[in-house]
Amino acid sequence: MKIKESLLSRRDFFTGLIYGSLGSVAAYLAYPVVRFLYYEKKLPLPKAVTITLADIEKLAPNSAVYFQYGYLPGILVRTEAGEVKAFSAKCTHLDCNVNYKPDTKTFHCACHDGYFDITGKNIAGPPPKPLLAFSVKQEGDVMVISHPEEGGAEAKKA
Amino acid sequence: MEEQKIQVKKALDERLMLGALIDLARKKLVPVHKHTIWYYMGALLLILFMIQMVTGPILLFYYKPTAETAYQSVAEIMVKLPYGWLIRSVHHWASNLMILIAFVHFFSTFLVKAYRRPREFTWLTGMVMFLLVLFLGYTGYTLPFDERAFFALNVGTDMPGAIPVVGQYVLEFLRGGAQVGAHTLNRFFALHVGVLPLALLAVLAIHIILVQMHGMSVPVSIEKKAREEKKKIPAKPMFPHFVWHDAINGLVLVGLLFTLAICMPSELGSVIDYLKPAPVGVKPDWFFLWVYQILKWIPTYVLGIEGEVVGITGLALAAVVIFCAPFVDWKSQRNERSPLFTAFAVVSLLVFLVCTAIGFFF
Amino acid sequence: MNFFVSPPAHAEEAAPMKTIPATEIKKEEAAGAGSISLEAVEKARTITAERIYWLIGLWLLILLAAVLIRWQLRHDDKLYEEGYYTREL
Repeated sequence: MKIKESLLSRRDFFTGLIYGSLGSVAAYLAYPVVRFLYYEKKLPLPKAVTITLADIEKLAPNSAVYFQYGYLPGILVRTEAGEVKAFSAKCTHLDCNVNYKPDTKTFHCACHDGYFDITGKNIAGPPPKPLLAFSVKQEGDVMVISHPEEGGAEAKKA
Repeated sequence: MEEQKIQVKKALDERLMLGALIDLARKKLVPVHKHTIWYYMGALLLILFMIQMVTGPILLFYYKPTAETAYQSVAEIMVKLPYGWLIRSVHHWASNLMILIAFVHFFSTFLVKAYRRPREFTWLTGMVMFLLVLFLGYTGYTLPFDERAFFALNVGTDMPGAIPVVGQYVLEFLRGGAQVGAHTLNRFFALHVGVLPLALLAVLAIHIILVQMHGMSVPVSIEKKAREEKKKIPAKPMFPHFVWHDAINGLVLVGLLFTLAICMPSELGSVIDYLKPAPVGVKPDWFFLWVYQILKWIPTYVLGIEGEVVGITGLALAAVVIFCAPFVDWKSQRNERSPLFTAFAVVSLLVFLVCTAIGFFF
Repeated sequence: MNFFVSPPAHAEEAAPMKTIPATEIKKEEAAGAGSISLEAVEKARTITAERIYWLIGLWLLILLAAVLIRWQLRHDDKLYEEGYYTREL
């Protein structure tokens, strides 16, 4: 029975207490389950990758090739002037691999028609940010390509 | 508050017919007598099953079921994943408790002849589930693919091979071929994760519906006594009394489960070395120790037949008798005392306990 | 090719791009590389004080819930004896 002034009957209050205590046991046990499911597995990225100059010389000017940087796909471009640029091949829109179009000297993402120019800047279509640029340095007879966070800080500039 | 409660109840009732269900549930009475405690086993099993249905799939997020990756994935779960050791240990201990309570549930219903008319199908579905649960325990044990698992795979699939006529087919079905290999792990994974849980769910649904239909069985002795004294057997409603009882039992069970999981976490054996001899003292998991011990005692040849065959066939025959108990125990069917079957049940229980103990200590 | 079968997803426009071999220079602290040893597993299995505290916390919550439920059960038993429930059925 419930008196007019009170919100709940005594029975309902007590039943609520019981459900609350059972709920707290469930929540207490749910915590390890939830933590277990949210496992942030960090895949490792190498400090840098090296590509032999010989291999790069084999590339025609104004052409591009893919290379593997840990788990990231990279795209390496040899410009007409002979300069070497390297970017992450992952489109900044939704992660499709981009392609290089020599005729327009742009990177094109086929998934949603996104375009990036030769410096990696997003120029058309949905991509919101430029392609991530790797730093490229020649050391002896290899080109050292490194990720801006893992490798050199100079790579932050495109 | 009251008004809103009534409104919510009306809304749910209109859409889900909950009112009719609740009416039906309220009518359920549970007999109260000196053997009432055995009625609690079913609910405990259900709670453990639900725990397995949660911990199992989430372990599945990280377990890699191939011969090359299984061991490392289990090691990763134990070491790298937050609370991985806890989830795995809970899953392991819940399976042990589930098998233990399944034995208790089986022996208690067997001893009080709960299988008599009209509960024959409840008994059959229960026996099927018993086998499924044992099989689930066995297949799960092999998934880490460590040394002990490999031994279990070899010997465990060898034994059914001893069954006359169909043995070789059973062996090849379990192994996925004539030899144990990566394909065997694949098969055991499919069984443990897909086939057996789904089968268990289906049979469990039938079992629970049957139990609700027939109500709880009362032992013959108590029924007789009530008839003689012309008294009704006292019964309390399921809702709320026995729901509260089940809740308390479930809470204590969960506490016990986590205590075991934290104080005695699951082990991981060494990596399989295919060219090593079987480790000294290697034994099957506890719930098969009784079979192991019985087979150890049987001489190599009995009347010219291989000991293995005699042993496995003998056990299979005993299992058939137990399966068919409702149809063979005609005294119980007439609600009379059945001392022969009581003796059989007591002997089975003693054999199980003694053989398990000997298998463990020697 | 129709509504139900999506067009094949190969790059038709540009010639297939080649790849160039690249050698990785891994970080010194190869974090998490290599297989996990049995010692690491044994270490993960050892009981720590933290785990015991968590377990005690669990038991306290269970005790609380069990006490509340038992209270309610006792009350419902009394109601049953007074005939409250048999009247309903």
